[in-house]
Amino acid sequence: MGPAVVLLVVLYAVPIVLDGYYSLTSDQFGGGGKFVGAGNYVAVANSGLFWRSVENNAIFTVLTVGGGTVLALGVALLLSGSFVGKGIYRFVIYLPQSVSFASGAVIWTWLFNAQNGPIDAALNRVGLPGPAWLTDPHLALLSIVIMSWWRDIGFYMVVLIAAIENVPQLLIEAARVDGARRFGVFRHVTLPSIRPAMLFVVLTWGLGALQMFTQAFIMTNGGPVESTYTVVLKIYNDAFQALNLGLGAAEAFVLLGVCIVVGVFAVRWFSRGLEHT
Amino acid sequence: MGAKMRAPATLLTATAALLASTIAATPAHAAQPVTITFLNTGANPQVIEYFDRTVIPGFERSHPGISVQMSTVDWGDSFTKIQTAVVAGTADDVFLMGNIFLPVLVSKHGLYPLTKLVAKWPVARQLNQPALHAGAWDNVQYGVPVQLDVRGLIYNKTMFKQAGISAAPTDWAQYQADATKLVQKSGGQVKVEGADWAIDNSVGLAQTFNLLISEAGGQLFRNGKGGRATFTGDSPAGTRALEYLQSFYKQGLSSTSFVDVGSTPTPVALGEAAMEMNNAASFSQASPAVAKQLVMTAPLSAGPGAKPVGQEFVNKLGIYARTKHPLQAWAFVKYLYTPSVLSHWDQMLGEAPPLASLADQAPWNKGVFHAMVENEQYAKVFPVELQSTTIDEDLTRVVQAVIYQKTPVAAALSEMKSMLTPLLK
Repeated sequence: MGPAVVLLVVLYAVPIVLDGYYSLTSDQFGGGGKFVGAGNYVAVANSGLFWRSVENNAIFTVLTVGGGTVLALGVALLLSGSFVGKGIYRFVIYLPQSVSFASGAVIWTWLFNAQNGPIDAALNRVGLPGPAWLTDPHLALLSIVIMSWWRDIGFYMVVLIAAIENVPQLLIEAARVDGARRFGVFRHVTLPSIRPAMLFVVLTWGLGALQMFTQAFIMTNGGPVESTYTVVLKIYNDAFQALNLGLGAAEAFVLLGVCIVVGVFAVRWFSRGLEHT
Repeated sequence: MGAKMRAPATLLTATAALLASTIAATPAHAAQPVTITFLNTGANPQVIEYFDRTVIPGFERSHPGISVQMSTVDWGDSFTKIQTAVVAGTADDVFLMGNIFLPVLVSKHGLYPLTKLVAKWPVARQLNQPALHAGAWDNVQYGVPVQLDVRGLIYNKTMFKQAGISAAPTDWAQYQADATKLVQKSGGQVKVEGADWAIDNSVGLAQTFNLLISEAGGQLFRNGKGGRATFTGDSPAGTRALEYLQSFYKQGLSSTSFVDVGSTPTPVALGEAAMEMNNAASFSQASPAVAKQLVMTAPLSAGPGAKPVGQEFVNKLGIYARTKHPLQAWAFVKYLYTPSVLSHWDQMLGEAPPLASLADQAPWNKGVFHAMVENEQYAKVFPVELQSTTIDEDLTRVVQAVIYQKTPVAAALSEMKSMLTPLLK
């Protein structure tokens, strides 16, 4: 217990306390900062770009986690049970998980290239106009969502397959005896039984999405016209490019607050009635 | 400009200058063997091999007792890496800095003052003087220029011939007229840009705006009393520059779909644009077939008969303020100015050398290298401020909104002024 507590304090509590401290100073990276009270938080509240980033992050999180969970669940349902070659399918879908986000982002930047990328080339070949995936402000964020699905669905699929395959066969049989069809079994037996796994998926994926950085940094650097600017990209630019550590720390503290609120909300939402399942 | 840091920096500068004058009396060849570290920023594989096999062994042979350990970082990560290393006290003894690094590193007390050492260095007099001046801040020399990223007009002569254009454009009106003839569209989409304006995932558009405003006779910043800069981009020249840039996208002569993501060749190097303002890197990035079609010439003027105006970015060598071996580090810096070393190094990077004596020697006396050296006469050094990293990012975002037709020019200039004024204090 002792060493675990020490690790928790060193790895989590100390950085959070330090972040809170820096957020109240005008530290410019390298010391010499003065106490500015809530000055950095006022600057955050008045920053149009920060709120644009929050909006982008919210859209990204809803699309990535909402759409991604449905896709991962669909794939998990298709690939659970026994049939020939299921291992190969699972392996192929899980494979992108072994690619780092940075490498994946570079690959997808090329795939999405509107001039010489293979996706648009294929579309052009069948007579369809290739969209400007990463350079159209209306499409860029969606393109990053697609890349993120590709990268993460495999992992969450595995989590959900494990949960689905652990649903007691007895319950499924009982439901069928009671006249439930396939969708009815899924709706009334499978889904409630895998609720803890769903909580894990939504919570970890959601918190990751709120902190999205690598894809936006590599694929678009927040553009075009701020359409993919995210909160962590703003924190990075303010703290490490503009050297305004105080402002970056305040933004990080706000993000921490958002993550806590979202986390608590998700836990409560998925825990409703959990004891009955 | 830099007023806030002047007071604390003065004491440090004086101390470091005293240290510099003390060590200047000691021999460069250390009694005890020492190792100095060198961060060769932006080195491509060719450069790494050249340094590993030729430059460093050559230096170590001529300076017994001093060995050099080289590491590299790409330009994209270099600013953050060097800056955090300076703050953490772990920076390399010698490092290669980009155009905008110097003021920030000076403000973090990260750079060793070189004024006295440079004053005694004969090579300094042969260096491109505006570039040498770009290595000074508050009248103290902190960096020495080693590469000049000189921009000129690059065009594809085959595309020119196909479009019936016989000579390179020299002013804005000709450039736009030629771009109209050169653009190739299919189904309403631009397939080959008439002119490319360096949209990238970095600050290319800020650089483009600075070039155009210079050509239009204005400037982004003006230094006032006490060295403080003010934003002057909202001048008639700024309006003209931004309207000119916007018109290319409005008229479909250029396209926002052409984005240089850093690791890919520029649209001109790919044969996807007919003209651009760039350095010789486009030639080295291009396939041999496309490279043969490229020509570099003088930058543009805003009107007929006016002098062309280009821009350059100065890469500088700096010495870490807290190095334990400043004299050995300075010996290594001086060694890199050996004409054959500097010439070969800059040639591999497609950038011009700051040494005038190299201009008559191969490869600087012909082709694209000669054009680059010739263009030095038109080049204005890209302006640098203490908050340049933020300024350039902000400028890029606003200019991007203009070319995407999201923000009118007048509103964009007003937004620039309100964003940048606090950063210049």
